[in-house]
This record gives sequence, C-alpha cells and structure tokens, in this order.
Amino acid sequence: MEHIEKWDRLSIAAASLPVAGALAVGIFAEFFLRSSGGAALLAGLASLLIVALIVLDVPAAIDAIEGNTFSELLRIGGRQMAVFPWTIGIFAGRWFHPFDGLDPFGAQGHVALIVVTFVVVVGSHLIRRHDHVLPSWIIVAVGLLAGALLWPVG
Amino acid sequence: MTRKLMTTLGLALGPVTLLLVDVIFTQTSPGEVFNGIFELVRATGVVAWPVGALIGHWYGPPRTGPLVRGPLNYVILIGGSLLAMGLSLFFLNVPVASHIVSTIALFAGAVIGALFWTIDEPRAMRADKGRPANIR
Repeated sequence: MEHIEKWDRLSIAAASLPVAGALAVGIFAEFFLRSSGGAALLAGLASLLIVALIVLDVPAAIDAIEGNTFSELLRIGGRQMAVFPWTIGIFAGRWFHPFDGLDPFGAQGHVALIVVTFVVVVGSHLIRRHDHVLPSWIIVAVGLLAGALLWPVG
Repeated sequence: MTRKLMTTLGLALGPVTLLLVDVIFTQTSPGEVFNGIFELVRATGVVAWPVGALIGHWYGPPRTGPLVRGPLNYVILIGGSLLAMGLSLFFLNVPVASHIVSTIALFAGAVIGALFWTIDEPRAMRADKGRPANIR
C-alpha cells in the first residue's frame, strides 16, 4: 500500500510538471527566440526531450511487461481519456492544415477551441461510460478538423 | 519499467516536448530563426509524414497485425516513408506547395502507419473495440 501511495504522489507531481513547463515555454519562448543562441537552446532542448522519449521507450519495448511502451500507453490511454488523441489531432491539424492563410474564425476560434475541447473530452467520456463504442481515430479526425479550422498556424 | 513509471515519465516529458515543438514549428515572423523549419513543415512531407505515421500507429483502427507479414513489412514502412519524405523535398521551393503537400503527407503517413506499423496489443485489450480497457 505504501508503495502504491508513493507512486501516486510521484504521478501527481509529474503530472503538474507539464503545467509548469507550459508556463515556462509560454513566458520565456519569445525571449529565447529573439536571438539565434536562444533559438538554438530551445531547439536543442526539444531535440533532447524527443531523444529522451525514444531512448526511454527502448527498455520498455524489450522487457517482459506487456503494454508499457509509450505507444501502447497512448493507445490504451486514448481509449480511457479522449484528451490524448484529441490533443494530437489538434496539433497535427494546426501544423498541417491545407491552404496557407486559412483562419476562418480568427481570435474567436481560440475561444471556440476551448469550448469544443471541453465538449469532446466530457462528451466522449459520457458516451464511453454508457458502454458505447467510440474509436480513438474518430476523435483524432475531429481534432484534426478542429485544429485546422480553429487554431491554424500561419 | 512498469506502466506507472512509463506513464509518469510520459506525462512529465510529452506535453512540454509538444509545446516546444509547436513553438519551433510556428514561428512565422519575417527574419525569425525558425522560418526555414516552418517552410519545411508546411511545404514538404518531412515532418508531416512521420507525424501521420505515428498517429496511424497509435490510433489506427484495431488490427491483428500488419498488412504484410515478415521483413517486407519493414521494407515498405521504412523504405516507403524515406522515399516519400525524400521526394517531398522537391516541393520545398514550389510556391503553392505549402497549401497542400503537408496535408496529403499527413493523411498518407497515417494510412501507412495504421496498416504497416500496428501495435501488438496486450491480450486483455484485443477484444476491446474502443471501450475503456480495464488494465492495471
């Protein structure tokens, strides 16, 4: 029991890290991007994190425990919480939307995205709670559309 | 590496990585350091294809295995991906390419990822078709 509580505490602490990280990126990214050195630092940090995620996945892929790689956890997690496939769909739609300059809703789109995100995450949870099937790829597809229309880059 | 440890590590590193990548991809002001990367993201499949392949890999419809068995599967997956990403570089300086190339690459990559890079799901999940899995 003590072991489980320790892991739960660690998980909560780790789950709060993205919030702190997001704040740090939001506050300091623009400052770093003003110089090539700062930009290189950001790019280096991003590359380091990507490499760390890949390297950490290797021992999980070859050990005896089933379902512990990041890919398996993301797939399982997508069935339990829509927020994972939804987030990935939003960002992919944002980056790779068709037609440069596409921005049909402007700043209102950002507000709409927050509302739609809430509806999708809560709605999909309610649908699945009542034992209805809602495949993750549908959530990704809707996320792609939402990211392209409500939060497009450029 | 228990599932809890991997989940904790993923939660700690994944979202921050995603945000940093977004900051780097989306700097569009003239003269910004990452403008070249923005063109690469929008006008070629170099980034869109692997992102699509990962989406297909993670969230593609459930399959019992890849479309083609054996080494040919990896030849198609890796060789096809490298070929598609390499060929898409020819669009880098084409003015209208940023309108559509990355979108096509994303969807094509997702199809390839779903068909040729399937996840061997744990036995407890195989019967599941989208409902929350009761896995501890």
